[in-house]
Amino acid sequence: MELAYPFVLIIGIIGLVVLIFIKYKRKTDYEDGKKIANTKFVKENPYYREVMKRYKILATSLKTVCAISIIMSLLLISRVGSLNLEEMTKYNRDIILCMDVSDSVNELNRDLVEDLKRIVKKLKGERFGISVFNTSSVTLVPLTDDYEYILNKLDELQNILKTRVDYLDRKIGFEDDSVYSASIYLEAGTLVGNEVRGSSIIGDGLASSINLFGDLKENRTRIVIFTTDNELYGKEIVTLKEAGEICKEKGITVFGISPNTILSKDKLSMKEAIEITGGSHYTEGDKNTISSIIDNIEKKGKNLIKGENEVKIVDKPQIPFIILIISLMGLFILDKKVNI
Amino acid sequence: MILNPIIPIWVATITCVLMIIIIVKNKSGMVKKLLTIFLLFVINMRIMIPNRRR
Repeated sequence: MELAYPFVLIIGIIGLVVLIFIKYKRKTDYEDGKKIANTKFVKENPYYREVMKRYKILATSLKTVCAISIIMSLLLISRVGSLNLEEMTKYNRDIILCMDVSDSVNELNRDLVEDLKRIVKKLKGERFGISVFNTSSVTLVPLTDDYEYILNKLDELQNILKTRVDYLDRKIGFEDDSVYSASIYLEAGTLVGNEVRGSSIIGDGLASSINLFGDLKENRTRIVIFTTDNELYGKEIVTLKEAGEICKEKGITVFGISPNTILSKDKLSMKEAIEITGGSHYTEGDKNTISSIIDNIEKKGKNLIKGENEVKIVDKPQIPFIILIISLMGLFILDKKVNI
Repeated sequence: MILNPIIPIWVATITCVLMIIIIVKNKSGMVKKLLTIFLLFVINMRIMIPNRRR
């Protein structure tokens, strides 16, 4: 048994002892009654003796129950609990979501984000990051294991993509403020040099995401979930195939997902580049795309790293609380009976 | 606001009703006793206010 605030119990018990001491020291024997002489006859009366005996038992029980109630209350205030030793284990795996945010991939991205939220909720110590690209690449979430932050960002991204899809489907007009916000969100930093270099520069997008992994010398499993339709509308610095080769060299596995509108030649070149890394290519609508990716990710080696042990005090107020309830109930019953 | 009762709320409710039945028959200090029962019920709820949105 551990106490989070043991000083409360100590102060409480000292206070209780002081109160009892003051109560017994004060002579209150004749304060509320009248002095009567020659009580010998009454005191020898069997009925009187029986009543007095009963009264003394009840009064002592009442005091005991009262003391128990106070001690249990003090224990509850002191936050009684137990020490739990938790071993913090983490998986040494990094996952980057690399998204092409050109309009042709919006629907795929929107649906994928929903599935990714489920994946993130299952993560245990793995680091996750998000990179988006069009002409240029932007880090939306750096590699982190703060899953609450990642989920917030994925929610935000999902809402933005939904708005963008609704706008392109003409369900909402540009006068809607959210459409403008969505455009700013998706275009900020992803269209740098767009006039000169064009858009949907896929190879550069994948190659840029490699930088998010940080120290590549560290022994960790690295995975990229790459979404694009592989429709290039600009000049690449690094081709998709070259990006795939860099990934292979750095030990990064790429899993690619494309919308079902992808052209066969684009699909072929994307598949080829991805398979260089040891990953697989999926098309939207393929049966169990996400579960298949999860299975593949699971198959990729993940080693448990034993972290530092963490000692936590877990509140266990059940027993003192139940004793408190029972003693209070006893207190109420005895109080009624003591009033003879 | 998160509720994390120490004992199930239905058990606490039955207990508190029983206590009220006990004290109703004895009128002395009834307000104090009712207040005690109310506080006991509220403490059992273990009301918590999260400091971060989840």
